[in-house]
Amino acid sequence: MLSGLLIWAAHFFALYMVASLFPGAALANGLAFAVTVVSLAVAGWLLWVTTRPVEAEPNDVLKRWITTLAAAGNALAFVAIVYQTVPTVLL
Amino acid sequence: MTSETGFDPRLLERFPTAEARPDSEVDDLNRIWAAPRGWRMVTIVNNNYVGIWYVAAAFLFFLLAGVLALAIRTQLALPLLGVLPQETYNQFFTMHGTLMMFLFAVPIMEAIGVLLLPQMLAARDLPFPRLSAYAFWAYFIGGLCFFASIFVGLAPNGGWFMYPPLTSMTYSPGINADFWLLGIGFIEISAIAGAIEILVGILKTRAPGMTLARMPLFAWAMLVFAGMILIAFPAVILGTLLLELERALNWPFFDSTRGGDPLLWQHLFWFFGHPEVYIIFLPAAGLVSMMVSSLAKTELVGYQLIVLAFLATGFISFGVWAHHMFTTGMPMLSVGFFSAASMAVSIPAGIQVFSWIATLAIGKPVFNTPTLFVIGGLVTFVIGGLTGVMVAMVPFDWQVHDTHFIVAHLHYVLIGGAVFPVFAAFYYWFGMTSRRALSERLGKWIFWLMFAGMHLTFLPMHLTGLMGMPRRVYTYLPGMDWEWTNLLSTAGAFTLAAGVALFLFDIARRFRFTVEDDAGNVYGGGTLEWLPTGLYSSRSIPVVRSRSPLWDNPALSGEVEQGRHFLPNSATGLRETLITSPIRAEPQYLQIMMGPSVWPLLGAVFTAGFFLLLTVQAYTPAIICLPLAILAILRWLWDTDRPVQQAQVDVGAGVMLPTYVTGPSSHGWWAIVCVLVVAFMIFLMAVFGYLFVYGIHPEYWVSPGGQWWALPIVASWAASAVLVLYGWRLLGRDGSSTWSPTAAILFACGFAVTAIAADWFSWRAQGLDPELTAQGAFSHALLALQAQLVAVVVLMGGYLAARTARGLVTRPSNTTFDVVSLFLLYTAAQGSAMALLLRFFPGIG
Repeated sequence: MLSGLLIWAAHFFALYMVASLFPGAALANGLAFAVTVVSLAVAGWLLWVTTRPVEAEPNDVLKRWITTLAAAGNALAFVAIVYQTVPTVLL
Repeated sequence: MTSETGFDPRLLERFPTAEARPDSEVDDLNRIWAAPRGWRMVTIVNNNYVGIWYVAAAFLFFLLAGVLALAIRTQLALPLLGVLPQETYNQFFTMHGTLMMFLFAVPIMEAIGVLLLPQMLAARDLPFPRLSAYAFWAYFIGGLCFFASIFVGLAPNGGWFMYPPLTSMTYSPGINADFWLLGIGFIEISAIAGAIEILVGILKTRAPGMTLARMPLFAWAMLVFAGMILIAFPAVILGTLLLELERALNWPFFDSTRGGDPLLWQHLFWFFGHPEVYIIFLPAAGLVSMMVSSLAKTELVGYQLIVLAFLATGFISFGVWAHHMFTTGMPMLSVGFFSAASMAVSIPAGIQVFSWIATLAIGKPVFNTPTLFVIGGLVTFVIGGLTGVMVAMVPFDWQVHDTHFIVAHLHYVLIGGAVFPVFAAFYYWFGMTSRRALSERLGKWIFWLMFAGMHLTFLPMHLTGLMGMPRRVYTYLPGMDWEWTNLLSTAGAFTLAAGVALFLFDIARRFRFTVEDDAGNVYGGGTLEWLPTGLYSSRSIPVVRSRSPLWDNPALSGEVEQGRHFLPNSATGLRETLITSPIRAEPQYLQIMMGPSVWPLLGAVFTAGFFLLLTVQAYTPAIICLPLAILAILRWLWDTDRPVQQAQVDVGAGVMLPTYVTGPSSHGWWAIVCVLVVAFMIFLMAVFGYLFVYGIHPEYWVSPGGQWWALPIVASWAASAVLVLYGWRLLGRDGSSTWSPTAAILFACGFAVTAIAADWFSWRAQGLDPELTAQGAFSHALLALQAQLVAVVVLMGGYLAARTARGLVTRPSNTTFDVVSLFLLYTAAQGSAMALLLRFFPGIG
């Protein structure tokens, strides 16, 4: 349920660490970009997992509800990770 | 059908049972849950009483902080006024901010949680009622003593965020800053206790069938709120501890001349401080989400999206702390990341706002007082949110940083996002605890006075700030064009205060505390807190089949009153509640709950005594208070974790549940895991600080020698952990001859003492003076932190031994044993990590 949000948080803290460890260096932008690619891959994979049709018990409303919530979180994380990386392009 | 725990969901179909239960069972419930009278009322632990006291205490601090605000505004009404001398002004604005943030905003949300959640979840009470009582008393006593410092001119005066170097011994030599550091550190411990209670309560005491998808949104908000407190508050506890150590022992954590860094304080403070804004806002958003649906008489639009928004807010709020530090010269790329995150946080907030607007639009709202407060709060919060996006833009922030623009922004957010929703909640839920509802006619006057006063105060303040007036100045010169806007702000503050005074008048006139013959569901809410209740909550615990059970099944109240759902009686003759699973809320076991006790109160009194007496440097009485506090807490715990004679009981309709469960299913396990999360966060923040100051001033650091010491230290920790696991295994057996499980734990404690002693003495032999460099200070602070854990471990070991001697540690499993074991395992893991960090970073000598 929290997978996407966790990836988003991990991505953010990774960016913070990169920017703090290599202040002002071009390397920071490159590493931030690499972290973003990895995070997007994971978030994308999670999104695919949570949106693909699966054989679930038809009456299990709760499971469907949780899966939908997780999928929405993954989609949000995907967009947020892209948005969070914009400063590396601008600065 | 899918099950989470092995419980057969078809058993829920037995409810409601066909026939009503005998009335004598209600008499039993009344007798068992009766509250003490007279002076013994201070021993009450029931949420109906503790919750209302908690709300009243938080509101008292709101009023006191409001009075300080009026004095501040009077001083600033015109240039060069002399109402408050400069030093008093400093104390007043520091106290105002501190009271509002630490003693009103967070506690009022916990208080409302303690009051409402058990009824909303249809639990008999929260799972640790004595912990609630302790949290309340600690907060109330500590808060009052803290506030009293203002009467003797000893109140803190360094701003509510207490930045060093201003608050260092050099620039703040008195004990004013110590009052803040020790007082707030202590009050935050109480907030964490409350958060653990709320988190475990929401996850483990929901009515059967109340799955995550059917949980009231206030419960969702409080779940995220409690989780955020566990993650965020350790940062400020560590920060206050380090700053107090610097002041008391001259250890230079924040002194840049000796390798420390004042910016570390800002990082630690704001890692707590910004999430705190959402810690305040989220419960209010939960309240609004529930009220808006009832007031508009329709289902809430976007329930699932709001849950997502709560969760997303919880996560992203930890990524915005440094936007308070845009002017400190951080690397530009970092600034860019925090700026982006600060703008992104408006997206989940926007989801909630649009959902509430949509619900009001499709429903049929009546513009009564709570509706007005909800809409007024919405408008105000949106304005505050928009100025928030403005200050998330770095160049704009550079211009308005530390001006009255920021003061206006934060008041729009906090009053719109929390104060107005709380007032709406007062009106909406007032009928649950009072015989008479509040006056609608006066309520509308109160709203308009508060709403107009709020905007009159803070709208012109944006302009004052844009014209350059800085915050925290006690006066200003004439001719700077700040006169009119300041005068308007002062007039607005008194208008706002008039609204609050009228509210107080109405409360005094109408409030008559009751649990049984209350004014009731005035606004037609559809959730379980509106079931008929006594001190035991609802007579029976209903099976929940929708999000608004009272709307979907109007007969539910009657069924519950007739005892046709779960637990229509006291199955064991004791106070008890149903423990359910965290996701699907399947019944798991019957928890035996603690009744009234004076020990939580005494524990709180002595804990407060310890911290506050330390502040005024009365060391002997402070040292006497510490063991007394520990004894009181151990005495309260002594009554807990007692298996009852009946191993299984009928909880209604022939459904049999155990009365004692250990391991991950038990509420005690969840609570100790929460405690360990807090301990881990304190350690993590300390490690962050250690690495941060190294990164800023590596020239002050040396590579330590004696790396080989890491081997015996880590080996001792490993031996301790192995013994714990061995003890666990022994406990699972029917009997053991050579070793007893508790003996294994005691030996594990012995290894823990050996490990920390070896660590401490070998490190001291390095000759790193804690007063000379930040490396010395941090390494000693980390060792002291670990020594504290070991002291707790030893205390726990002794407690377990005493319980074993009394035959209270039962086989094959026991909750106290689990708790001590988990704590020991964590201590061993942290001790090993710390020994390696100190000896191998920054390099080998």
